[in-house]
Amino acid sequence: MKKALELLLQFGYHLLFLALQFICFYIIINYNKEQRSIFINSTSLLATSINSRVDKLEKYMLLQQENDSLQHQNARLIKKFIDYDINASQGTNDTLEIDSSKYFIQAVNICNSTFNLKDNYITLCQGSNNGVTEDAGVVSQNGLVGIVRKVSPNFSIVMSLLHSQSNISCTIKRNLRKGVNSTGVLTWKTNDPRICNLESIPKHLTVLVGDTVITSGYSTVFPRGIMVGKIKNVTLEKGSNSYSIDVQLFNDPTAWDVIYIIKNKLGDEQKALENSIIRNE
Amino acid sequence: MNSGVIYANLWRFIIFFLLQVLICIRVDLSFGSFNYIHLLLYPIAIFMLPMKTPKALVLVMAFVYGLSIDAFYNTPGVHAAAMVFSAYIKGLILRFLEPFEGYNVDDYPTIQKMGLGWYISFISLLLLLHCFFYFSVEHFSFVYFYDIFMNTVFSFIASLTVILLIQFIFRPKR
Repeated sequence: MKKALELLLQFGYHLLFLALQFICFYIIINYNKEQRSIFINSTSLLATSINSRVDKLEKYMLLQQENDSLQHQNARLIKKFIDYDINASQGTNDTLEIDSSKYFIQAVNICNSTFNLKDNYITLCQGSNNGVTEDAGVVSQNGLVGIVRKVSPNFSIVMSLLHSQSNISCTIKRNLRKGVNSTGVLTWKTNDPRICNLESIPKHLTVLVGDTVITSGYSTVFPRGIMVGKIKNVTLEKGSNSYSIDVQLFNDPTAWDVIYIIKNKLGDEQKALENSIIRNE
Repeated sequence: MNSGVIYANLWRFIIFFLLQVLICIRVDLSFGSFNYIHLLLYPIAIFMLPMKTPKALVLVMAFVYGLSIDAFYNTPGVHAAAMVFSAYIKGLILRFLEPFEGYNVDDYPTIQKMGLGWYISFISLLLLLHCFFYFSVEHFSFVYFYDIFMNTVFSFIASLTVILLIQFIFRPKR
């Protein structure tokens, strides 16, 4: 007790000093306009800097979670790519594989779209300013969407699969696996937005209901192996040399969400070469 | 003897208080835009309290004295903060300037008792710190460091000159 009193006597003076200074500053801040505003400004500055630091810390703490979700997403994407590669390599017995660096994929948004007309178009919110070019292929997560037809600086118009002029080279995956590239043309003659027609598959090939239809890659627009749909119905009309096939699309054109455009970097070169031979002959 | 000391200090408080709030506050020593000279004479009443005054009492007196100066300057707390700070520092400076054999019982911080050299170093150190603290609190941010510095230097020089003149003229013994 005595020691405590001695301590108080020894340090009481300093405590008294601090207490009086505290009172002084309290009075200064409360009764002086200028000092008050400076004080308020400084404390708010301090508060914001502390807040931003805490925010940073919080973000850092949440990095783990963020990482996990990104990893999941990555895993899904990698899986998709593997599937994609398998499709491609299984589809061809020779060494021709999809050279992924040949294609450039970019996510785009839909501004407007129709699916119930005879000729349907989709308007994209991205144009030439965003790198969209004419004749680029458009796909969604589950399958084909269409081909870019016209590009303005900020918008572009995609000719949908559901268009009377739409012709996309497709093939049947099961036949392709056996080494038979039975290329047909995907058109849309029905008025059902979920069903397309596959034409020009010669009648000597076997086509089964339930076969998967993929893009053939015989064009500069789409790479080989993009999933299109499942064969729903096969008929062989009398006197005809080829099947007429109904294809149930994998994706739902009435509910497209995020779509991607595929640009073929070497497309122009290929086209130029092909055109030159046609001209020469 | 003891009551004489008390009276002497009481008079000093009253005189310097009136000097500050009636005269120094009205003295305009600005030359055009050069407005850095402010006479601060009042701290001398605290500085010249006898060495043996209880330290806590010095602090409380400084606080009350500063607040009463503030009442006239219309800056609540600014002078009080500076005065409390100086009173606190006074103890350290007294220890710092203590002669080898220590202070005598009847030593007072005056020229007559401690000599001119000791008095000038004691008063100038305290006054410089007081000025610096006062102008810092008045501007309240070191953003205005130039103003604080100029005010401190010129007010310090002017105040010290006046204080020394007063000391030479009146020659207080205690």
